[in-house]
Amino acid sequence: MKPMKLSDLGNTRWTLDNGLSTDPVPVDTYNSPEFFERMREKVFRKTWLWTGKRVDEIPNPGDYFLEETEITATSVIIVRGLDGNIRGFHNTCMHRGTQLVFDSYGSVKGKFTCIYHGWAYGLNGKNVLVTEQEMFFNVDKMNKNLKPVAVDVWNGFIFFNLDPEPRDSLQEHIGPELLNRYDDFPFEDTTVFVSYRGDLDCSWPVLRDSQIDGYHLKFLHHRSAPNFMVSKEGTNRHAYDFKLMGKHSYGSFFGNREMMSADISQFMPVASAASRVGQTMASDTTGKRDPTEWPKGINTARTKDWFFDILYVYPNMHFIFLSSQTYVAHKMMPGKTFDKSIWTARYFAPLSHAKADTLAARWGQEYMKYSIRDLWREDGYTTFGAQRSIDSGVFTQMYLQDQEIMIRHADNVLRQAVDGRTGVGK
Amino acid sequence: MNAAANLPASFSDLEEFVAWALPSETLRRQKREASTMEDIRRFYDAMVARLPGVLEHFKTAEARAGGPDQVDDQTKLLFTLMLAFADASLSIEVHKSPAVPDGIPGDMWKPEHETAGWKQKPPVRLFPKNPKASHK
Repeated sequence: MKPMKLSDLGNTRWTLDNGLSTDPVPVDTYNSPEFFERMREKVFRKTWLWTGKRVDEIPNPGDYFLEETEITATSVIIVRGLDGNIRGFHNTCMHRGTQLVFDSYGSVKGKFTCIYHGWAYGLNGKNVLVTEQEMFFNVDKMNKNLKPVAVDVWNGFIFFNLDPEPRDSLQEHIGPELLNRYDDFPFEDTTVFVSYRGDLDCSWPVLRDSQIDGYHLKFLHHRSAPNFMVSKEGTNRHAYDFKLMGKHSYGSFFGNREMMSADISQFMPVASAASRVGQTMASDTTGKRDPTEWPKGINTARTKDWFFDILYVYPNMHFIFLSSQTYVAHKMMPGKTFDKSIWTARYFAPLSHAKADTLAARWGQEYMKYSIRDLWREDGYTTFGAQRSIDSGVFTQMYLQDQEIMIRHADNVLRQAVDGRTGVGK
Repeated sequence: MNAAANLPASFSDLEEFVAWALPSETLRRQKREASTMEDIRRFYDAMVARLPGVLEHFKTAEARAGGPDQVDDQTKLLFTLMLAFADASLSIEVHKSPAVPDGIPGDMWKPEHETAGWKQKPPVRLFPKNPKASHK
């Protein structure tokens, strides 16, 4: 296949092609406590949510992590059982409600024991010990097993659903198009290398929108990614494709390979040295491996002039694919109230990269970590001002261009889930 | 850092910058962001000049010691100094500023790898793709 060019797109307008409204998008969902309450019940208590974790992080029976969700005030233990299966339980001793574990990661030998009165539970949630049992009343009638939480896995990513009886399976939630599109990406070779978390003073939709457009790269990231998206052939374009896949969406974005792999050793000798010894943001990913051989769902334009793909998995998971084997996955969660949110940004790469067996390679990895850390700080910064503008009442609607279609679609999907109807004009 | 530790003898000219070699990413970033551009520039210029030599030294030291984890304390200190240099270089080469212009405050953006929980993270083990393996 011939690599695609931006100029091949002609007069394409994805918003029109997908039958979406072109009207401004109202931001009333971004600062309404009432909408937030409904969103808690209809979305965050009912939908499959990504934990931020992969199966390789809890490889052995008894390995666990804690999934604390502010909007639902829940704490869930996600643990690998003796049979190798991963399960979820509310982190709540059935005696007096004390939390069983307190650490974000850990490992237990076969059971969880409550620090308060010593009640214990197997890795399958079954109560195995009530201390001083003979002094209790009607022990047989007590509901003393841990309360289960639905947990399932897609491509090694661990999801949970707080609905005691989820209305769909995780496979159904992901949907056939996504299942197929990413079934040959080598996720199973990857693990988390870098993870940062910010507790931000902005609403969850503001945070969500901050990672589903490519429009801002040329401007907000002009220092971190200088001229990476500047194109000679279409000054108004920076995207090759968008696809709306049920509740989820995908976009693929131009990168100026000449700029990205330019010799920067004269004016950025450290960045240059780091990219020689390790993977960095500007690593020559499309030069290292011919894009025609890439996994089928990534860089579908099959071009070397490619920077990244975005995949938004509704509601809280945002992928940024950076090469045929590395990616960032963002976990975006609401906080306790409508104007708080929690952003966890994680960089994943093949575990073989972790076996950095030289100091130079380790140094290159650390450089990558700091540079991506600072780039994410740029992304986070815009959210505060936007929230203030919305809260002031001055800012009531957004004008979205065609290449911001993922935001328009995400707004529709959220309104549909919460209020059963999409936004104005659609 | 261990006050007794020095840099390898051939890098004694960098000794005046050893205060940058703080033991965590957060401390090093905070030092960078609290420094003036002049101080960062002095550190940067001194380190850039020695960069090829440092990488060469790493190669020799780990070959002699039998691996990157077994290198001598002087080399370890030089490595930490290099981490501070990597962070500080962003101020010179990217941001043209000690902190990140148009960025959220550094202390608000927390590295999970410095948390107590992360230290208890079990060692990673991959699960090769196998359609029969269910995680239900």
